[in-house]
Amino acid sequence: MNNISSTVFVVDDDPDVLKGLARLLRSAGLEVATFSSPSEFLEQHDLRAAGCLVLDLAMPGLNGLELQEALTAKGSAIPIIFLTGRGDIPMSVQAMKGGALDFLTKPVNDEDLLKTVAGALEKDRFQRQNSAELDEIHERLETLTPREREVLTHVVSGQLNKQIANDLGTVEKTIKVHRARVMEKMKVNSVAELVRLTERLGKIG
Amino acid sequence: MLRRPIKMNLAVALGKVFACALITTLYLLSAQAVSADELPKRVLIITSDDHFVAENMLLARVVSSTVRKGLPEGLQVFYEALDTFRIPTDKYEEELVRLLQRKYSGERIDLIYAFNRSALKFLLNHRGELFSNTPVVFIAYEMKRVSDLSLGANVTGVGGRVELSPTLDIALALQPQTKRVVVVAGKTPADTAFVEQARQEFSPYAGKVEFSYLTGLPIEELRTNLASLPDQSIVFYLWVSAGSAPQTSTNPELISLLAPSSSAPIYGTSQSYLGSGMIGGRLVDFEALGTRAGEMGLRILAGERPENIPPQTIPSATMFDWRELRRWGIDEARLPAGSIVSFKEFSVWELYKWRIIAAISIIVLQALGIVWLLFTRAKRRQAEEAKDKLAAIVETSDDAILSETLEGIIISWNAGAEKIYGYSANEIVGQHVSILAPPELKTEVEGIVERLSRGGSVDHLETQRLSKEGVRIDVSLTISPIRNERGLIMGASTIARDITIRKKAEVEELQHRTELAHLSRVTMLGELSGSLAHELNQPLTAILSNAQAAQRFLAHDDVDLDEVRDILGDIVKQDKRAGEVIHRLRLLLKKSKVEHQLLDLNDVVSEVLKLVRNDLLNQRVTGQMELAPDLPAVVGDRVQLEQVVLNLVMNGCDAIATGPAGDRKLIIRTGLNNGDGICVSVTDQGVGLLPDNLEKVFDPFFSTKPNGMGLGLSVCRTIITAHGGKLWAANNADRGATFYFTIPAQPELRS
Repeated sequence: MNNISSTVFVVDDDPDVLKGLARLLRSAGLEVATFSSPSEFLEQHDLRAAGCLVLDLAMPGLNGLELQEALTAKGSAIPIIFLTGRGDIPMSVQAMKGGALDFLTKPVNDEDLLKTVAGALEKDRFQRQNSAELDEIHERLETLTPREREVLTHVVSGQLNKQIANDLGTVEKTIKVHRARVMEKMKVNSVAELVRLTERLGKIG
Repeated sequence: MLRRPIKMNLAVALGKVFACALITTLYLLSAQAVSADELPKRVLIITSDDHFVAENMLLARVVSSTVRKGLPEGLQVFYEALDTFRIPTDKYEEELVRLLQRKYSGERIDLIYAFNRSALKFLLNHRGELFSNTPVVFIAYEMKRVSDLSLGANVTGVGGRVELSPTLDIALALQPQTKRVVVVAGKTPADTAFVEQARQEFSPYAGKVEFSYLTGLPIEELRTNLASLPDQSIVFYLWVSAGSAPQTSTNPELISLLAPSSSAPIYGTSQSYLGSGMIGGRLVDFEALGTRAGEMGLRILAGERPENIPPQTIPSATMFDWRELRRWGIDEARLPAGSIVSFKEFSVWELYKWRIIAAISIIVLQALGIVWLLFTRAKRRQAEEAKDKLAAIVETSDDAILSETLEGIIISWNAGAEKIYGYSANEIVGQHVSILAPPELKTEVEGIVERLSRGGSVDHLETQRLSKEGVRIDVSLTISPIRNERGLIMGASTIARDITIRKKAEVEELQHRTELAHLSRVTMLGELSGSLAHELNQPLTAILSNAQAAQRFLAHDDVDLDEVRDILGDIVKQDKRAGEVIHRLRLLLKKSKVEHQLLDLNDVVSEVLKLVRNDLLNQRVTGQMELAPDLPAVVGDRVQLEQVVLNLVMNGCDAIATGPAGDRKLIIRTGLNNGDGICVSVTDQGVGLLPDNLEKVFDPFFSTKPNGMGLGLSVCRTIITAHGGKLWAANNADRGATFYFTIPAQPELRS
């Protein structure tokens, strides 16, 4: 919970609620940034900034759900905790489908809020870490030549060098060289490791 | 039986004695009053002819009345008609003198009047033997005729003047076409003298008119002559002495015989002929002769000497007989100025003009009086009937009608009053009106009595009174001052209507309306619960967050007290905010009494929008307020008016909920409505209303919504109507509908 680089972004059009929530989060040692409207947040938010979003569902102009949509469209995966005055089921469902981490009812208890925020931050951290590794794999993948990439695809599908050479219309020896180079560029020691990396990337292409 | 006559005789005797004594006393008294000097004057009138001659009679009357007027001691008149004219013998005259001597010897005669020349001549002739020292006043027809007599001492008199040419001038002026003048006269020497005078005076007219003289003709012949005169003739009658025409005695008699058949008007010389058929002329004025002679006699009787009073000639006067003027067609207006017209036959109008006017006036006044009396009687009867009717109305009225003095003492009490208040007239008349007032309203009664005494009145004052049994009655009082005919306030009349039933109905209606409004409000708030929960959740969220933050801060080693203080301040603030929301809710939810107060409708609208803010957000509706600044205040119940605005706003939301998100706009406007009220409108951009439903939406239990009770708008309309305003709906020109309501402004009051 003591993640210094993460920020809790709080958006509520009610300044008093905003202030109270911010205070509570700060009392738990969290970094807090407040915004009085979704549009204000959208304008100022840096997608790279780590943290989570505490969002009031009912606001004039852009509402919580719309902000969620807008963020998704921008490629942000920031975890969102929705606060609502009432347990409005259709809205909650929609929010959850949109990837909302949690759905809290006002007035919200500190433990609930802090626990949820902690979870969100954890998720964010995980997401961020995960995405950093993938980026690394991608970067390594980028260094491969097209021929090496073809070889990679065949290797992870479990083919032998001979079969690959046959498929690619070359000799086994050449394939061996390519394979060694792929293993080196992808910074792996075993085919099993290579397979796990490509699985994380999903489909290569 | 025997005693009675004796008694009577005694009474008679006593009466006689008393009467004698009285007469004697009266006689002595009267004898004492008349002294020797004041014995009645004795005047002797002597005429030469008989005393029935018209001139003599006229003179005797005028002279004696003139003299009598001047003599307080009285007058005795003796009359001697000598008749020497008809019996002119010396023998007779001798005997006559002797007779008179004998008759008047020892008789005192103070004055003698001699009426005409012959009588004067007789007196003068016998002056030595008869009435030698008695003063004589003569009266002559023509002064010239006595000028030959030597009058001597103690004699004076008056004489007329026969003027012939002036009469002719007048006659020719009145009848200018006259060609012929017929002069009638007698033939005695006296008559001839007049004829001579005529010839002399008429000579200048010879060229103009033709003169003919009929002298000494017998009466019949004269009459025949005059009856056959040619046209354009006039008759000039001079004098016919008695001897000339034996058939007649006097001139007037003669003229009266001639005139009726005369074919020309007869002019004459003497006043004495007037009335017998003569038209008139310049006439010897016997009236004036007699009056002057009378005055002369008085001077002499008073001691003046006759010789010191010179004889006087009396001028003639122009006189006419009105009847003759008429007969000959001569207009009275053409007569010379100063003419005297006698025998005028006045018309009834001329104679009795003033009497007729007076009579007519009296009749008219009487008629008016009768009309007035009838009118006042009718009016009085009408007034009485009206009064009876009024009395009947008062007596049969269901309302209590009573009257009271300025002090408030009841003086009349009708059956209606008895029915309402329970007191009979006998019980209450004489009591003070405050007996009817409940204890806390005694001052109201005093105020009313005071106000009435200043001429004020009370119009439909709704208050309470007590019946005899002590039951409170709601009454409507109309009290007016009663003034007397001079406009002074004498008391007051009160009409009291029992409005207990109406009041009860009003209260029930109000209660019913309030309940309905409440029901509708509660229903509406149910729909709003999410929004309301949000309103309450906001401050609660802030409070909880702050409080828990504070707890955490306090758990730290280095407590930031400033932060904690700040937090506590915010908690207080948010708690209050929550309290306000609850208060507002409670106001709307509670079944409160209707409470009219000054309100700014802009506040009402803003308050409602605050309440529904969250609901609008959830429905993606933008509520846009366009509020007119400086609105005049209205008087109304805040909760109910908020309810109306809330209802309209929520209906508007529902109407646009199905539309595209971007169009979900609700415009709430306030503004002045034609200057006499304030209009609030809620405009949506929904699908609008079917024309048939524009009015139906206000019917109870009419709803276009699946879950609607259909009470909201009907309750709203009841509320607005109760506020004196109107609520209606209209479709917009483009799309959607607008609901409007108006409330009368209270311009003099600003909220």
